[in-house]
Amino acid sequence: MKNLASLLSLVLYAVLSYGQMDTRDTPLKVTMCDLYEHPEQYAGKIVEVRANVSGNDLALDDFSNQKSCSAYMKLHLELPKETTPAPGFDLVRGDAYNELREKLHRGMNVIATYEGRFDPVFVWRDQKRLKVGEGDDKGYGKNHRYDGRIVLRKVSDILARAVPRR
Amino acid sequence: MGKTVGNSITLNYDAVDSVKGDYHLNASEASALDAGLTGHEGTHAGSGPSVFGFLGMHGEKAAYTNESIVYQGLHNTDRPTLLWNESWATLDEQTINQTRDQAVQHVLHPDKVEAPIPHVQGNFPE
Repeated sequence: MKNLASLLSLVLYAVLSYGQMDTRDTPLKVTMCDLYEHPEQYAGKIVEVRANVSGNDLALDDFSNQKSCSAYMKLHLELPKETTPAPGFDLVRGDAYNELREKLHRGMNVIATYEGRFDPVFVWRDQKRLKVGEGDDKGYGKNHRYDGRIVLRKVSDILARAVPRR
Repeated sequence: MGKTVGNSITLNYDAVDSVKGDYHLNASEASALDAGLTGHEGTHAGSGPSVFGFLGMHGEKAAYTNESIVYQGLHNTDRPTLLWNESWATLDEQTINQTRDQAVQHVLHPDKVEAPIPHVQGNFPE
């Protein structure tokens, strides 16, 4: 009987652990506006978001529609190996990531879906930069210009179009 | 899409229409593109040829900056060239200008983004 109870406990623990792991690893599908307007809600979580990316520092922005958000964050992508503390996962490198860098290098307008950990530090509301969450107090990236980052785990669904030259 | 020599501005509307089609711009966005392009070329007008022209520089930074300002005034998020995003209006003036400048630099110097090194037998670039 005692052995049976131990076995049941072990099975129950395994099931619960699996459930927690599944919840933690399954990305939350969000929009950039969701992240801007509710950064606390998504802080430290794995999110999946679609946005434009540009520049060497992989700045993220949503240009998909004309509707403005009530808040804003300057976000960029960071690779796990450049991130401290280490995020506990690696970037899934492959054709999609290489394609992203190549299209950017060629000066194209690139939209893609990114999966990664969202780390907010500041949010802009009514022309004021307000502190949110925990992390590096100075912001991320070169000259701490970014209010938050997405530590990239996976990139997919790349749409690249030529930037019209004047 | 445009060319300016002295005070003469020529806009290539075949090229403009091609952009409107590629990006599926709605009527408002299409009108904004016309205005933005005119603002861009207008920046060059009257400047005349200079020694910088021989170096391939034609005041493009100023022209793209003015184009971005046109989009800001029209409350138009610029989907094709990414020069203005309506959500940037939430930033303060100094940060708006920094963000605009960064957007212009991304258009002018896309080659600063490192190209990936083709991977061989599973060795992916760092």
